[in-house]
Amino acid sequence: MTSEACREYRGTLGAVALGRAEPEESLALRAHIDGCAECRAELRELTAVAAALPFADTTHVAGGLSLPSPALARQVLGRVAVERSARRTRTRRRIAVAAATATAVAAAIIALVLVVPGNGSPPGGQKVVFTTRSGLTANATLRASDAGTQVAFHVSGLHPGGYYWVWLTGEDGDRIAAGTFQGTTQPSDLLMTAALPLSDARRIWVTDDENRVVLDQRLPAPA
Amino acid sequence: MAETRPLTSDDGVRAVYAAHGPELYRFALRSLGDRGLAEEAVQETFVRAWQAANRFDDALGSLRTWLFAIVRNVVIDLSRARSVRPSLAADGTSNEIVLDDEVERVIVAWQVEEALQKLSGEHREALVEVHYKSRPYHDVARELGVPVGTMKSRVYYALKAMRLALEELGWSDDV
Repeated sequence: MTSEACREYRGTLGAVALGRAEPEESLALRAHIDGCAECRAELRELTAVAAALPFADTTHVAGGLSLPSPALARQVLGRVAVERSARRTRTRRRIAVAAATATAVAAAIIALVLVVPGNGSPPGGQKVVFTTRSGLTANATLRASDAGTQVAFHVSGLHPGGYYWVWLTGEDGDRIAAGTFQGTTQPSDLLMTAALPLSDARRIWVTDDENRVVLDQRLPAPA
Repeated sequence: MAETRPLTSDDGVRAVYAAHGPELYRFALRSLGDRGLAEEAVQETFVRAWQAANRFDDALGSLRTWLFAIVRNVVIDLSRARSVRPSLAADGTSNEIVLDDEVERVIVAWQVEEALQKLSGEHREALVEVHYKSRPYHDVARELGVPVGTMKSRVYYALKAMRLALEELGWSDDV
């Protein structure tokens, strides 16, 4: 409840809070707030504000509110968009790796049943040279192994830092992952294994992290 | 503004930026003393906020409070990473506790400066002349052509308005 008397003390409340009241004003206010909880609470609140005032540097106030450049809104949206895209790529990559792993496990189980001894390959392995765009060279040597098909892969000219998957497709159309790698500035020699018998392999191909085919070569069926 | 899931779309990010971006920027600028760094801090704040958007619960606090908690950490990280402390450095000592205290001090400084900007011209003038310039009430009153009582009343209402503005900016005198 604010009485008329309280109203009269408002100016003094501000002055006392700022430490700028005359002694007789302070005494009069003291006498009033001894019996007025409302003004006592208000003095406490205003004194806390007054205590915060010296933290300010008024030169920061004089120039008005600084505004960021108009481009900042676009930059913020751009940064968030980049982050969103990176998260999608990471999610897609996890899904792709999980899918490839699941496929490889399934193929390995089938291979245990189907692979028979004597699954030979030409001496020195089966050579594959990829037909590519300029600036990109790649070849592979495929060898049969107990674990499936070993792929010795040589490549240069892929996007440095990009993620790539090497796949073999079996005669039944299933794709089996041989492995993943990152593009580098230097030519790369990579050794991978796909859990697919070489005699079943009909295609070797490479995809990037957007699932685009960047290298592709058909393999001849064994005679 | 509905802020249940405020950062899950481009429109949401745009709206949150429009509501809080300039304030975050001014806080970062006040803390770092460099417009470029301040803009970087705001971008980083929004990236972190977006990454943690699922953890924001508007039942637990305001979006502004949450964003200021993030920008505060971003400012500390940028200060550490770049050793840029023109506004934060006060005493030459350098350790995490001091930096933390400095950031707290800069937060209050920024809140007071921002709140002063939000006052009416009359109220701001009253506080600047009487408090910051330490001028006697009657001098200021005479210069403005108003009774001393009116001047005192303006200072009182200016302090009341300051308190409201400060509280809106997350300031609290709870210790």
